[in-house]
Amino acid sequence: MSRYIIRRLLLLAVTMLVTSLIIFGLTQVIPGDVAQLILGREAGEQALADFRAEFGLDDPLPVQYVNWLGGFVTGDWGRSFTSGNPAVRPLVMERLGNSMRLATMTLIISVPVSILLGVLAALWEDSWLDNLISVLSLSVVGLPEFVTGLLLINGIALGIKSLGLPATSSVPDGTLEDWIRQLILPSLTATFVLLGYIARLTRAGVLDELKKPYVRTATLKGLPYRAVIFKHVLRNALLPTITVIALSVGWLIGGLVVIENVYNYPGLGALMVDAVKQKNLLMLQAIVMVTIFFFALANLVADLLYAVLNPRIRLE
Amino acid sequence: MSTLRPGVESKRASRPFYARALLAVVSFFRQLARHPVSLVGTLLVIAFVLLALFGPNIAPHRFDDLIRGAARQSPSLEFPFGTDRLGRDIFSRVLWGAREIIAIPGIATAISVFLGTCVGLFVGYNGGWIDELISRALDSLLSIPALVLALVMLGTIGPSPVGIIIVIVLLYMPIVTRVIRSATLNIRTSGFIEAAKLRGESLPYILFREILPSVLPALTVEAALRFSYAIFLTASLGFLGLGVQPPSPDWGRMVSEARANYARTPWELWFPAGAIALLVIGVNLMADGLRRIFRYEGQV
Repeated sequence: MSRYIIRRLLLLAVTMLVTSLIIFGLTQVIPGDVAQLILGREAGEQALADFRAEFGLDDPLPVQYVNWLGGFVTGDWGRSFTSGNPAVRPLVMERLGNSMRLATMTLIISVPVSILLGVLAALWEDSWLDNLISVLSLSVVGLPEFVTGLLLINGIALGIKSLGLPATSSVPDGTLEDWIRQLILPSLTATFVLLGYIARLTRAGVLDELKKPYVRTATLKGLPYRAVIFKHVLRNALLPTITVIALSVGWLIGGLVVIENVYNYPGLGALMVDAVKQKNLLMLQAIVMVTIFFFALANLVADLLYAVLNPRIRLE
Repeated sequence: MSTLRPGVESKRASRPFYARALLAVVSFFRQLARHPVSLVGTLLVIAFVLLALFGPNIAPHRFDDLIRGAARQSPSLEFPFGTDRLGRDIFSRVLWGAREIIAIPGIATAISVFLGTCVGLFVGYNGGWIDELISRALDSLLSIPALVLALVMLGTIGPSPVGIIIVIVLLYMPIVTRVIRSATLNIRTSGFIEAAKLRGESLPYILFREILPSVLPALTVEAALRFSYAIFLTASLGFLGLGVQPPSPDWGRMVSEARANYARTPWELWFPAGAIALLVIGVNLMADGLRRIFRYEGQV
C-alpha cells in the first residue's frame, strides 16, 4: 500500500511537470508583445524595455520556463501584470480559501441529498419517483450553471425576498448564519450539477447490488429489509459513489468558473476569467497550476479511498 | 447492434439506398417512441436544427435592427419575446443566434468524432507502442479540467468561432478516441476480423468496413453526448464574455448582458436562457434515448 502511495505521488509530480509545460507553452502563444499589451499603446520605448527586463520577458523561453517553475516550487509565484504589480501568491491563496469555503458548503448540501435520492430511486425502481428523479437529473445535469444559477436568483431568491438572500455572494464571516446566507445559492447551483450525476450513479450501484445472490441469502435467512439494505447493500453500492464525490472536489475547487461569475463570488474561477481577459500571464499560470494540482490530488484520494473501503482491491 | 436479424437485413439490402435509409429512420423513431421522453428530446433537437437553418429567414427583424420607439417593450404579438433597452427584437435575436449555438458545437463535434474515430480505430486495432504513446498523451491532456483548458486556450488564440471550434476539438477528440479505442479492443480478436485479415483485406477496409459498424452504437451515443457538452461549453464561454464577439447575437452573452437589466426587462433574460435550457435538455434526452436503443452502457 505505502509503495503504491509513493508511486502515485511520483506520478502526481510527473503530471504536474507535464501540465506545467503545456500551460507554459500555451501562454507563450499569446499574440503580440505582452509588454505593449499591458502598458498600453502610449508607453515609451524605455518603459517597455524596463517592463520586459523586470518580468524577464527578454530571456530565451527555456530560461523563462526554468525560472518560472523554480520560482513556483519555492513559493515565489511572481507578480501580477496589473497595476501596482501585487504579488500573485497571496492573491491566489486568498481566492483558493474562498473556493474551498464554497466547495465545503456544496458538499454538505449535495452529498446527502443526492445519495438519498439515488437510493430511493433504486429501491422503488420504475416508480413515479424513480422516473421523476431520472428526468430531472437528465435535464438538470446538462444545463449550463448560469441558467440554473440565474433561475435560482431570479425565481427563488427574489420570490422569497423576505429571506433577504443576497443576489451576489461575498465571503462569509465566521458565523453559521452568514455562511448559509452567503453561500446557499451558489452551492445549490453547484448541487444541481452534482445531483444528477451522483444520484444516477448511486441508483445504478444499488440496483446492481440488489441483484446479487448475497442479498437473496440475507433476505431468506430472515433479516429485516432495513438491515439488508443498510448493513449489506449500501456498504457495497456506495463505493463508486464515494469515488465520484472525491473526484468532484477537484471540480468544486477549480471548476466553478461560471457559478462564481454568476454570483460575483471572489473564488479561484472568477480570478481566472479576469486573468484571461487581462492577459495576466503569471497569474493565469499560477491559477491553472493550483487547479490542476487539486484535480490530480482529488484523483489520487478517490483511488486510495476506493482501495481502503474495498479491501478486495489490491493496489500494487 | 444485435437488433438486426440476418433475414431482415438481406431483404433490405435488395432495396434501393433511399428506401433503406427511410426504413432505418422509421425504425429509429419507432424505437424512440417506446420511451416518449426520448422522442420529445429528439423532436426538440430537430426543431432547433431547423431554426438554425431557417431562423434568420423567418425572423421579422435583423439581430441588430434598432427599432425606433420600441425600446424595452414587454412580450406582445408584435414582439413575441419583447425588446431590449436599445429596441432590438429579442425574438429575432434568439432566432439569429440559433445558428451559432448549433453550428459551432455541431461542426466541432463532427470534427472531434471524425478524428477521434480514425485515431481510436487505428490505435485500438494496431496496439503496440503507438497505442501506448497516444494513450499516454491523451491521458495527460485529459488530466486538465475542460473549462480551464478552454479558458487558457481562448485567452491565447482569442475568442472567435474558429477558436472555439479548435478548443472543443482539442478537448473532445481525446475522449472520443478513448471510447472508440476501448470499443475496438473488445472486438479486435473476433472471428470476423481474423477472417478479413486472412482474406488479405486492406487496413482501411478492416477498420472502416469490419470494425466501424460494430462500434457504431458507442460512436453514436458518444457523438450525441459530445454535442451536448459542446453546446454547454459554447454557451458558458459566451456567458463569460469569451465566446463569439458582438455584434452577433450569442445566447450565452445575451443572458450575461441581460442580468444588469433584469429589474426593468426580465424577458431579455428569460428567452435566451430558456432557449439554451430547451436545447441542452433536448440533446441530453436524445442521447439517453440512443443509449436505450443501442443498450449501450458507456460512461454517463
